[in-house]
Amino acid sequence: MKIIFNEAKKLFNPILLVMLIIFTFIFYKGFFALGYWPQFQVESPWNTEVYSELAERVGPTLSRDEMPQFYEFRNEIVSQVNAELQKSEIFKENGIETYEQYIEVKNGLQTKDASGEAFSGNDEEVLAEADRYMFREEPASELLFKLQDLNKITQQIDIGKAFATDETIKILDGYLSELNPEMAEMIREKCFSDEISLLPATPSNVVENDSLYLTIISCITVFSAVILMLITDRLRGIYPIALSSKIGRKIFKIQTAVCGIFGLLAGALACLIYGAALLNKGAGVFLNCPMDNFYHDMWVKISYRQYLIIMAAAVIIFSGVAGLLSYIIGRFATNYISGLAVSIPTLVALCAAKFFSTAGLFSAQRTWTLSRFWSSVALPFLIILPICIAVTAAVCLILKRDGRRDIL
Amino acid sequence: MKIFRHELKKLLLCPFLLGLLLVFAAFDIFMLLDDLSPKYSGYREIYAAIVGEESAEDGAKEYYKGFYDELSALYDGLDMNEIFKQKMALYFPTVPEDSDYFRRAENNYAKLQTRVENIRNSDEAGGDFYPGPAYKIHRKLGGLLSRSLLESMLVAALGVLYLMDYERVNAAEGLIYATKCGRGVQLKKILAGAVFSVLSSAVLFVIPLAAFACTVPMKGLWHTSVSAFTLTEPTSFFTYPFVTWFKLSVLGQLLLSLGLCEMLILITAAVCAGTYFFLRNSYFAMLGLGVAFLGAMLLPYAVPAGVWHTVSLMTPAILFDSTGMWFIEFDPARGPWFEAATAAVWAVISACAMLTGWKEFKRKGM
Repeated sequence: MKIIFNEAKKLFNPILLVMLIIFTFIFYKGFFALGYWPQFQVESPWNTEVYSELAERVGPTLSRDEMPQFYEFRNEIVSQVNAELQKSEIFKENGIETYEQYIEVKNGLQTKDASGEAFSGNDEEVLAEADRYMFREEPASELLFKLQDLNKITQQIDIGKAFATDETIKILDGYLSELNPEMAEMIREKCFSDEISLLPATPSNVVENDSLYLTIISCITVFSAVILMLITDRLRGIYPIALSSKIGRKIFKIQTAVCGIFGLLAGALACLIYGAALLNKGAGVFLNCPMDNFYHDMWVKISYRQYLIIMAAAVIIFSGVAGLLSYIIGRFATNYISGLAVSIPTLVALCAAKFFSTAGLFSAQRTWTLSRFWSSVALPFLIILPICIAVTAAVCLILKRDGRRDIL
Repeated sequence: MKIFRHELKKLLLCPFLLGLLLVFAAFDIFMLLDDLSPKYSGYREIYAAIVGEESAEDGAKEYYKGFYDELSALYDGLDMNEIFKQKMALYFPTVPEDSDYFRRAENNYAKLQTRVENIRNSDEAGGDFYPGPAYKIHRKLGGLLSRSLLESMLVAALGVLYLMDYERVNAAEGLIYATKCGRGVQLKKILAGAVFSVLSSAVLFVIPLAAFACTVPMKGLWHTSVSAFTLTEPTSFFTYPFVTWFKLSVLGQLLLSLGLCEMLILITAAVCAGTYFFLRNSYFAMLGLGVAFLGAMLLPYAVPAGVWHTVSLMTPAILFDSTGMWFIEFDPARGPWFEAATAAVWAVISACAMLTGWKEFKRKGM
C-alpha cells in the first residue's frame, strides 16, 4: 500500500499541476460548448429555456393528452407577445395587434423583399420594426423566439412526424420510401408514438461536442503526468535498482496499476466536474427526456441521463487507455523529448478514435446506409475493443518481460 | 564547426524525430487527399475547361462558364467601407466610432477601397481559376500550409529542446559546462536546431505540396491573381473576392507564405532556446510553450477592441490561426504590413529572450 501511495505521489508534480490547471482553464474557455450554454450552433438562446419551462409543467415528454396544457402554455406567451406588439406605434398604425397578424405581415413583406418586388406605402418601415422586435426589442425578441421554438412541435404534428394519423403519415410517404426499410420502420414507429420528447437540440449537441474535449483534457493530463514520472525515474537510474530485487520488480506492476487507475480517475474527475457544471446550467430538467426527438432519430431508445452515462463511460475508458498507453511510452522513451515526440501522434490517434466511436452515437443520421446493429453497436465496439485489448496485451507483455529479464 | 556538425548529426539521425516526421508527412498526405477526394477525376475535366483545351467536354465548359458569369459580377459595386461597417457591427458592435481603434480600422478599409478600384481597372479581377465556391482551392492550400506549419513548429521545438537538454538528461552537465568552451556548445546547439528546423520544415512542406501538384492540375493557373473573382470563396456571412493588400498571384502568395512560415519556425526555435535557458528543463519548456501558444491563440477573444486587442493579435499563434489569409483583407485591425510587422516584432522578442537567457546561463553556477 505504501508503495502504491508513493508511486501515486510521484504523479503530482506541483509545476505540472499548475500548468495543467492553466491549460484546462484556457481550453475550457476556448473550446467547450458548455461555455455558450444555452446557445449552441444554430439554435436561439431561448430554445433550451422554453423547452425547460415546458418540461417543468408537463414532464420529460408531451403526450397527446397533454396537448391542452401545451396550448395553454403557448397561449400565455402569445398574450405576452400581443401586449408587446401593441406598444409599437408603427404596428398600431398598420393594424398589427396580434402575433398571428405580425407573422402574416412579416412573412408577406419578406417574400416581397426576396422576390425583388417593390415595397408600397410604409412597408419598409413595418419590416424594419418587425425585424427590430424579432432581434433587438426586449422582451419581445425572447418571446418571439420562444414561440418560434414551440411552433416546431405543432409543425411536426402538421407534417405527420409526431402524433401521426393514417392521414398525416401520407405526407411522409415519399421521404420514407427513399430510406432503407429498417430506418423507415423506425421513423414510422416514432411518428405514431404517443409521446414527443421535450429534449431540445442544445443539451445533447453540447455533450457530444464536449465529450471529445473532455477526453483530450484528461488524456493530456494523464500523458503529461505519467511520462514525466517514468522518464524521471529512468534518468535517476531507478530501473536497474528496481530490477535487482524481487520486490523491486513488483514495483513495475504497481506502477502500471497506478497509471491505469490514475487514467480512470482523471477521466472520472473530469466527467464529474463537467456533469456538475452541466446540471448547474439547468440540464437537470431534461435528464429523463428520451434522446429520440425531432432533432435526432435514434436507433436505440435511451434517455438523456443514459446518454450522459454512456458518454462519461467512453471518456473514462479512453482516459484509462491513455494511462496504460502513456505507461508503455514512458517505459521505452529514453528522454523527455522522445517521450513527447511519441506521445503527440499517439494522443491525436487516441482522440480521433474517441471521436469516431462516439460521434453521433446511436443516431440514425450518423450512417444512412448502415443498419441499426452496425451503426449503433458494432462500430463503436469495433473501435474501442481492439484498442483496449491491444494496449492491455502490450502492457502484459512488458510486465512479463520485466519479471524475467536479466539486467546485465 | 565540428561540434555544430556533430550536433546536427544527432538530430538528423534521431529515430523518434525522424519517425515523427514520417508520421506527420503521411498524415498530411492523407488529410490532403481526403480534402481533395470528392473531385479527383473532376479536377482534370474542369481544368481542361478552364484553360480552354480543345478536348474539354461541353458539360465542363458550360459548368465553368456558369460560374465565371455568376462570379464576374462580384466586383460591381464592391464597397469595402460597407463591408467594414458590417464587420464592425458583427464582431465589434460596442466600439465607439470616435475611438482610435475604429479610426485605424476605417483607414485600413479606405486603403482597401482604393485597392479595389485598382483591381477593377486592371486585369487582376479577371483570370481563370478553379471556381472558388465549388472547389475551394485557396482554402485547401491554406489548410495544407497551416497543418505543415504547426507540425514544423512542433518538430523545431522538439529538436532544439532535445539538443539543449541532451547533457542534462545524460548527466554530463558537470563535465560540459565546467568550461567556457563547453558552455558555448549551447549556442552551436541552437544553430544546429535552427538548421534542422529548416530542413524538417522543407520536408513537411514539400511532400504535401507535391501531392497537391500531382492531384490538382495547376499549369498556367499559378499566375492568376489571388484577387480574381473566380477564386471567391463564400463564408458564413460574406461573399466577396479576396482583396489583397498588393498585387499578388497564387504562386506569389504561396511563396511569400512559405517564407513567412520559415520565419515563424525559426522564431519558434529561438523562443524554445530562450525558454530553455530560463527553465533548464526541456519537458516543462515544451509544455509551458504549448500552453502559452494555446493562450495566445485565444487571447484576442478575451481582450476588448483597442490597442491591446491589436497587440494581442500580433503573435505567431494568431498568424498560424489565419494561415491562408495572409496579405489579404481579413480582420478590421490588420493593416497592410500586419504579417511582416508581427514576424519582425517576434524575431526581436525571441532574439532578446535568447540573448538574455544565454547571458543568465553563462553566469549561473552548475
